[in-house]
Amino acid sequence: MFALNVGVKIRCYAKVALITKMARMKSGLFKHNGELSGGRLWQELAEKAQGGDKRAYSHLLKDLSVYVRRYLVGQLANPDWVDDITQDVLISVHKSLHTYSSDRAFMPWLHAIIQFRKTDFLRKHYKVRKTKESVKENRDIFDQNVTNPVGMGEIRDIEAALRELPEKQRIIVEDMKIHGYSAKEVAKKLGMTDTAVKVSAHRAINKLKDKLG
Amino acid sequence: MSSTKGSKDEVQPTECLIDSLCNELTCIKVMRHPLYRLVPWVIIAAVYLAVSVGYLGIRPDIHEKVHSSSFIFEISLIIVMTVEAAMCSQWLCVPDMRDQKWMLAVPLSLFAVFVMWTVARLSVESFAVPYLHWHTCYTSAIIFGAIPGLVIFFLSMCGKTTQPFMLSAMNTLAIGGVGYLGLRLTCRSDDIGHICSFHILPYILLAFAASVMGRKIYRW
Repeated sequence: MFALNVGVKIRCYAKVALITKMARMKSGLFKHNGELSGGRLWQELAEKAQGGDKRAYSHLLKDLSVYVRRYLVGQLANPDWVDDITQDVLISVHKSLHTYSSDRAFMPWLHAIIQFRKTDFLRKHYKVRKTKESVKENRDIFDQNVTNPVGMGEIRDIEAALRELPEKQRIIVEDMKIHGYSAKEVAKKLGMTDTAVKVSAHRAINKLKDKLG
Repeated sequence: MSSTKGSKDEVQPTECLIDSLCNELTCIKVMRHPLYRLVPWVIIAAVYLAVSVGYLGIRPDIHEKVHSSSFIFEISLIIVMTVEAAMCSQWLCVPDMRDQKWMLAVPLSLFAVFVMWTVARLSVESFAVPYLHWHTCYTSAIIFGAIPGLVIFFLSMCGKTTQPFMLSAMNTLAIGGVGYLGLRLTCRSDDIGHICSFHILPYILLAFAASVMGRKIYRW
């Protein structure tokens, strides 16, 4: 009977300890290697950063970049997006640091920003239909990126480099190299000579090579 | 901007970003509690409303109206809705709304009551559909909404919202509330057709504009 009571008591204590630990973790009060970590530590660092302490701010941002990356990594289809959103979150934390009140928990404030930036990023991404269409049109690129999502970064770089070209050169490259039109067809469309189109395409490709290394 | 884990070169941009953000850091003036930010708006809006009503002339039958329960109900509803909407605007300026997201339900519920009240009046009272033209009430609506609108816009711009659409909706409710209140205190017409066409319509248009512009204006 005594052993049973002791067993029940131990289980009760264990339950209480677990609940307390969970509650502490939720509010960011848990300790790691004897030091405050998580939300409570960041709360203090954010307060110091608001006072202009650059070291505390650097510590805070470095911790946040690791935390945000870990938080996002399982939620996004493309691993490249994790770093983009992490950087967006860090910039947002910087811009909105004045709205954080140190008498309140840090985590809800941070998570509101993370969710906002994640939604914003995904909304922007899916809005750009052209990007998706150009990938779908080119079967090779599409297949390559299904098996190698890291390559998505390269496509974005190419698209960014294309956008930097003068308008006429960009149209020529897109029509000839992406949509598969001949130089003659493009020349007719733009009211140029075949040779001028070929020269322009050659120059544009060289520029792209320079930009993309 | 993108980087991949495991590669030293590509992890660097985040490190560089952190360094540049740290270099930019200066001593920050922390935003005051939303309640403290609300008080100046309420005072400015109330004083401005009183001055504008005094300037444009209070309705002559106001003594009779203050004894009308429906008028008192309407005015009270609008005052509470306006203050609540302005309050929510200030809370929305903080990314997590200081964990008080439930607050949004109050002005939205009050607005729903106001809509139901107006629909009930439209169905019960007889009215003639007014001819839409530039009426003095439109000018008054702009006058009443101008300063409270500018002040709440300025206050909202100081914050960083994660719900720009909701913030613009709350701003519109607050501005519309002040304007509607002013119009009900100056315009002698109680005809529901007139109220809908000349007192409510300008703020519906403002709401449309705010819904389109809100995301762009409060983007950060």
